[in-house]
Amino acid sequence: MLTVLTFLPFAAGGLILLLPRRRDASLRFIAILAAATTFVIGALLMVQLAQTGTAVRQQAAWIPSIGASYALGFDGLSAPLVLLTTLLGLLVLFDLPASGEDTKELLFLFLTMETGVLGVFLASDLLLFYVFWEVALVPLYFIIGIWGHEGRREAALKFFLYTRAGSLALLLAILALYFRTEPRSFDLDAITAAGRASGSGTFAALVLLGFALGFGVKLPIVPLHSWLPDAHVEAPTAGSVMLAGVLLKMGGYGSVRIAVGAVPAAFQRFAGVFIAIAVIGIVYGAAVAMAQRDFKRLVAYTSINHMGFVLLGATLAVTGATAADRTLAVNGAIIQMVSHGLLTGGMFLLVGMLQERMGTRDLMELGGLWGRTPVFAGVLTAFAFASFGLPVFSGFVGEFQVFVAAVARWPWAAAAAAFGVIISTALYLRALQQTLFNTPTARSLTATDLSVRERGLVGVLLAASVFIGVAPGLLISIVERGARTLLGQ
Amino acid sequence: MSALWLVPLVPLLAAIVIATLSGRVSSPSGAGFLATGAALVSSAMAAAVALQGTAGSVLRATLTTVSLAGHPLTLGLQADSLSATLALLVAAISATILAYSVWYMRDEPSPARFFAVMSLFGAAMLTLVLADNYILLYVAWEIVGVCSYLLIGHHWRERTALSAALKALLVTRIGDVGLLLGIACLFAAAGTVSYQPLLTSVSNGMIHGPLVAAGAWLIIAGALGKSAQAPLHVWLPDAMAGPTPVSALIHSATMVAAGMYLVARSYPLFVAAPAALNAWFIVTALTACGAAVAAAAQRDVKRVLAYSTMSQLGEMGMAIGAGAPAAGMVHLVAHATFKALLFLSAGIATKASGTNELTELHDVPRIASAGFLVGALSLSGIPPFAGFWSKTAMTAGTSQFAGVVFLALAPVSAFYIARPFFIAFRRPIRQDDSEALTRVVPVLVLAAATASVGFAPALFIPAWSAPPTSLTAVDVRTWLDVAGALIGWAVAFGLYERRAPLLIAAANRVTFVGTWARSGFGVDAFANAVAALVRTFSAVTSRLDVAAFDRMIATAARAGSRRLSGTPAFDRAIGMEVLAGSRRLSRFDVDVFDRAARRTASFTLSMAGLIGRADDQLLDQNIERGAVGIGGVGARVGALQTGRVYHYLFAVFAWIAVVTLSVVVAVRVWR
Repeated sequence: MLTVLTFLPFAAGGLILLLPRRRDASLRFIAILAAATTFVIGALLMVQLAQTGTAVRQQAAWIPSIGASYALGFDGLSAPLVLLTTLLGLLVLFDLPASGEDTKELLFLFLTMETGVLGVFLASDLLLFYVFWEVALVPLYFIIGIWGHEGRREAALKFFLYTRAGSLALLLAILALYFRTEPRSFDLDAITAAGRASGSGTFAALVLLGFALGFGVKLPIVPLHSWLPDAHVEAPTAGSVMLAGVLLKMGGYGSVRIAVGAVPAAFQRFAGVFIAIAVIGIVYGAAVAMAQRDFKRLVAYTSINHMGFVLLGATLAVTGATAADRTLAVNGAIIQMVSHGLLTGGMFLLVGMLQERMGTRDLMELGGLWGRTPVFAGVLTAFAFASFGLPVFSGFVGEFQVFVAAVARWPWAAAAAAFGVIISTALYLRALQQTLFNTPTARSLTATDLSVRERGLVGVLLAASVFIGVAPGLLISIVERGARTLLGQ
Repeated sequence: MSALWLVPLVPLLAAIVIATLSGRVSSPSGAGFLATGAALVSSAMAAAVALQGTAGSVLRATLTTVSLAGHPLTLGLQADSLSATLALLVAAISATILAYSVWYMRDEPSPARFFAVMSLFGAAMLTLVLADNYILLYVAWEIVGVCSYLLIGHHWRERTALSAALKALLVTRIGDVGLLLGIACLFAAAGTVSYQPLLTSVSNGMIHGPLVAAGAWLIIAGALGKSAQAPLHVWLPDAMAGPTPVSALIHSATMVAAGMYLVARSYPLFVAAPAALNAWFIVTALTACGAAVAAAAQRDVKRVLAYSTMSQLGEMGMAIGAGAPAAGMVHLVAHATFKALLFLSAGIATKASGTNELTELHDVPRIASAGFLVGALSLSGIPPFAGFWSKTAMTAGTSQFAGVVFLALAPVSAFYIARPFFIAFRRPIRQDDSEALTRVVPVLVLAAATASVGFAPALFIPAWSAPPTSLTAVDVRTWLDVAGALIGWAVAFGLYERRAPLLIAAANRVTFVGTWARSGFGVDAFANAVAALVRTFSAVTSRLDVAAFDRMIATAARAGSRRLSGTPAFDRAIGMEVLAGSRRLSRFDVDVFDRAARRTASFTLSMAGLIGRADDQLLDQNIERGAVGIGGVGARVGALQTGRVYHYLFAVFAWIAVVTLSVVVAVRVWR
């Protein structure tokens, strides 16, 4: 079942490549059908996981000679992200750039990317994880480079080079772990088990450094982030949604799952550094975002702010004051990722819709949409409030748990992160003000409100965020089981 | 589902109905009456709950239990005598003000949105006072803040309203984030956020330590923001840009008092952290005095009332800080009735004359004048109005020192509220009120409440506090306060009614104080400076972001590219090597991969032919065209890479190496 879940999008993509180009509608139909089926499978597995509480696993020999196996696992940590990926993977198919001739390739790339990301979240074998990691990376390079906006080429190049460099560090770290484990193995559970007994010496520190670079580029952490704003700004809307919605999560998931699992002692030794990096990301991301004029660039920078909470949670998972705090930190990191996927995905969709209507994303040239397009205005307001952590929405659930995990041992980090939350309130309010209020421009007087398709897209994301915000118990109980297994509690 | 849930649920349903029907209902008063009706039903239920609650039994209703890292997090409502009394207050004041809004919003834009948000506010505010734990309180706390934001900015085309809305949400959120951290501290310390078990174990001394103290300090931060106490008070005067019913309900009677409720509710926590309680007393006392002086200097009637609200809230805070939380809560109830009355009366006057400027108010209807007078007398603590009883409770319950501050405040408070009365409300005109029933009835109801409600909360609320305190002992200090208030009225009468030359001369002597006080003692300018600082920080970091992380790498890449092309030998050597390698690779490529690919293709083709789903011609064409398509894609992407890619790659690697090295060095040095 997990194999079907993972490879169904890719298979559909392959099928689409073989079909005649001119039947555009049926190509899209096949892609949507496949993505919808993937989503349903993911949802069913999630229901099953919630009911039985046992993880779904699948294992087969792959390259036995080097101890690499084809092992997939659907547990409390991966399940929410898998479901998020299948949901966003389905939704973006309704918002693809109008490409005319190239629909085939575009659909293929999106579906391949979905398979890659699903594989990253599901893999229980590090070599397999790495392969999927690369598979997920490449399609986006083409999506940005071909279907992007004016500066797409440089942005795509930058994106690719940064992530390549990160991948290399990641590969080295994975190989190092492979040689450490007795018997040599890429099996994540074996590596995690060995990790609990591992020290915090130079070897572990170097492995940690490799992960920090590999996952840090992807998250991204502050000095390694400069690919992110350009990639987002130049990518077509659907590409941005996938990039922010799920690809950044690969870095967060890796930090929680692999870095915490494999080298906990080293992670704990350098916890101060990572907490500092996380907090800098939270404050810096918000501060830079506030100064942006381009709405899309603004949303891109807020990702750095939000993902800072994920790194903070991952670090607190090894350095929290009590066992309960460490569990909460893992919970918080995973739920924050799901929430960010829903909310920032929705934000990018809304900015795309805004650009289609107004012809610009420049905040200084927008204004006055509140009266003319009430549905758009209401939804944008809801997403903005949700993004700065208003309760009732999902963002609050993750941030609160990270705060609880932080206050006992790292009070200054909690305080600095709280400062970041205040700046992020300011920046979203400013963006709302510039877009919805102020003097209406000529264009905003003729703007049309959201269509049924657009309402459906953002409505689903908003509903999911509200569901998590209002009834967080379900998701928390699922994630917590995975967190306890990971932390060996 | 317990009946307790219906108290907030009914206004919530009203909000949803109004929001969904807003497009279809043409009559704005329809929405208004629906909202009012819901609030009346809610008040009736709250009254029933209050009667039961004051009988000593505490009603409880659990919504859900979330397990968080092994700690059950129970979210529910409770109605002890304090919560029940405040719920009744909120619901009843909401109903009154919503009825008044039917008149007020007749000629204002988007009444449906107004009533929907007002109803939502009512639901959230009721949840806030009825919650039995800090999480649900925080949820409601944030929702009332958002409603406040939306309602201050109701006239969204006006720049002042907009920036006031933004300022209100942003400044209160500074406190809110503090409160969130405080709740996180309490949860981390106690493993629960429910008042009863948490506060009991703090009182027993079972839970103590820095996290509990931090929780108390951070709760203060939340209360300062919401209740507009220094230094987070700067948003409240600007918030008066909202429609007057909003100012009455949210920015005087209910929401801004939530901070006082929070601190009173958490009182056992502050007993365990006396330093925090003392700091709280000092801050609220300063706010009470500063805001009272500032209120006396305002020219805009709504700003007088705004500063007055801060000052009155400060007095509640002093009562709590001086050890009489129950008395503070009694004053909360009294203040809600007379301040709502003052706002509604002022709203009638400003609507009649189209301005908020005190000196330009004219044609003030009699009902407004009478309402304002009753409210002003009550605020001054003149018997038999509500303010007298609550101030009695506060002086009786607190220490001598707090009593001195209350005594000093009495003439100032009386003066600042008598001043607008004598300037603007003293000479009303006769007006036919028969057509505007929704304008008159709410004022009459509130006036009646102010005149009669005095004893009621003093009967209910003490049952909540432990140990129960008697709050009705009228002693000599009370009469001193009344005398002080009369002096304030006399001065205002002499200055603005009789225009006594002696007083005017004295007043001219202190003009500079007035100017300074009018601007809120310059705190607002300070706050703006802080905001500007944050904006600058943001702009500078953003500039830095581009310069440091982006341009630097690109420049390095370009420089590297130039440098390399400037050294022909090196370049050529590398080039030759690469070329040779490439040639070898290409031969290998043709030999192995190309052949394999061709074989695969022909195999696929024959398979396809075998299945016979499509004729060879079509498939062949497609593959070819697909190949061209992908090739085209490659070419298009390839174009961007020619030349500098490797230099760029090198630069990125170098950058990452630099970052890594500096982190490693930093760690070394740091350790």
